[in-house]
Amino acid sequence: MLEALLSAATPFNLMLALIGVVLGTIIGALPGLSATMAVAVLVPFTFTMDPASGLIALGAVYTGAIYGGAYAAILVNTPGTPAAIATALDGFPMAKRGDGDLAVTISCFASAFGGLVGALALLIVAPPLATIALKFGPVEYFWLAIFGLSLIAVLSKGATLKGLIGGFLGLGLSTIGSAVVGGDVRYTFGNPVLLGGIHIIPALIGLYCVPVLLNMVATQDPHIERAATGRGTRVGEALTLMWRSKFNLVRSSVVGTVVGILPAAGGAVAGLVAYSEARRTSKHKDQFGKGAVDGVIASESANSATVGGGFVPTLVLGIPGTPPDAIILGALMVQGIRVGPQLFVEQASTVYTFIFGLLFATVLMIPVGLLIGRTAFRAISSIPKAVLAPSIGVLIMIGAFAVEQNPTHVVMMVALGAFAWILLKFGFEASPIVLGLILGPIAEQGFVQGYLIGNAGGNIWGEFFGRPISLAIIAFTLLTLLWPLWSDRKTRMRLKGAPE
Amino acid sequence: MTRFMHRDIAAALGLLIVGAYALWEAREMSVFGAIFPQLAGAGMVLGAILLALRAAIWIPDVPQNDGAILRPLLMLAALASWAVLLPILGFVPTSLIGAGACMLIAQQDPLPLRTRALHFAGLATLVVSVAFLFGYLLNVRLP
Repeated sequence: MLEALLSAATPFNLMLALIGVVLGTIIGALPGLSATMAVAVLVPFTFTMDPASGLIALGAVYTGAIYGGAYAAILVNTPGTPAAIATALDGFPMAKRGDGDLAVTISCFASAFGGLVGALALLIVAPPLATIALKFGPVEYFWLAIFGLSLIAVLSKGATLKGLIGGFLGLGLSTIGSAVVGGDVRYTFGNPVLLGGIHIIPALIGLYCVPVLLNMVATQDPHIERAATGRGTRVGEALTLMWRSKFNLVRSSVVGTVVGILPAAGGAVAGLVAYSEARRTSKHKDQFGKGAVDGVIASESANSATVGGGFVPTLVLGIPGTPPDAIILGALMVQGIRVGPQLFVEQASTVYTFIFGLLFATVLMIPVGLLIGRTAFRAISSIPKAVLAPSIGVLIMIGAFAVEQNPTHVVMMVALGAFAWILLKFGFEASPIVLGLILGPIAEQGFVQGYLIGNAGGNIWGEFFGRPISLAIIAFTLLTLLWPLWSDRKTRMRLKGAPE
Repeated sequence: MTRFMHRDIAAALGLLIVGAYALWEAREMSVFGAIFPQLAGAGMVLGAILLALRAAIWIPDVPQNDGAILRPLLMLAALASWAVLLPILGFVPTSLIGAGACMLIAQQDPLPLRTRALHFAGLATLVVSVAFLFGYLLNVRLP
């Protein structure tokens, strides 16, 4: 272990970690450029390096990209990566009220903490944790998606009906294209472009960013409140707030690590689940969605923890937890490294050097993140709208195009943006639609596969309601939905019983 | 809108049409392929009915201050034209035109020509930098 630690701490590896984090953060901050693309672009450069150094570079890029997504979420209300969806819910309201610098600093520390928890889990308990991934079948994924969808009720307090309708709209949008099971062609209007469905990145850009852009030009008000002079990066304030939210921070990091271990769940699901839990357990539930610090902490710590968590099944089982993990798995194979349970024994030096490198990269993310975040906040809060609006226009156009180098995605992005803007005029928020769009395919695939398995075994009900992990997720879902009602009732009773 | 019809009833009508279409189309799908489309369609129809009932019976329409509408519509038209022209004219020319149009739309107060020229020069630098970053460094095949 000590040898691996020293090997990871060589100037060359530290430089790779630093460059990787900087590049990843910048790429992640640009809407449309995902962590997957950041890792994929840099894979060829690692082929000439020794395996551990190459892995450190890729891991650092991945870590930086997941964190970088928070900037656009906080400052422009557009998640730079899908993992930052939940960050936008409270990060942007914080920026609107003049706390954008605080939100960026908190997201940096929360991401670093979550990243460290994920990497430490990888270092200490990877093999036993990997077995969790094997226990997750289609039904568990179905219930996990339902748990995520239950967040709609949480997000849309005060407008629950419109929130639920938005969720169904998102669910409907997710069914466009070829069915995930069976291959039915649905709602394509005979247009082959829609066969692949609605790509999540252009959809995110359209649903979140275009309405912001259109509303930006409607008034003379500043896009976000400008930074007050002399407040610096507000590190002390951020650390104090995080200390107050320490249980949320730890819980969200653990949630992120566990969700990261589940193949295909990813940072978006982790962020949403952690956000939901943070809101459920918070004493200030009504602040969520209006700029709650706890919301940013939960989302950012959870999505960054998925990096380390995702490497657990990738390295131990050869099952990639997220798309960037799949690319890194491919890079490992090119390097001649065979992943599997024996990897931690046969290639111990390489694996532990990589894990320590990932830990260093996560720590390096703090100065890098604070520096880039501060610059980004100052730039966006001081640029006049006449320059900011077209600049965002350029970035969303290239972002939507670059995902699959497909001009149709750009048109789709603008169309969805117009749709979201009109819906906003009628009081429908974008977040429930996005939740339906993201979680719909996971729920559908899990449901149909679970049904088929249950049917083949002659026990459909048992398949859905008789498995321990499923029951635990169902219990959490019910708790999420019913807790606010119970809590409100308790408060009312207390107020009624209180002396005048 | 508020002068002619309750805002939520208009939304409910739109939803009803979309939901009914989703259900109608789902008839042609296989059993498993139709489950989620039917769920989404039924949810929209049910939601539309509840929304309309709520609007008609319980909740009075409250006029909302939507802000100016002309500039957002112009911006939407600019973005739509930008998206359509992108594969035809190429990324750099379309983006220069699109960014210039968005700049004019977003400009609320009259600015001196020199300031406008400086703003456009900054945007042109951004467009070229983005094209270089994506086209050359990230190997994205730009139109």
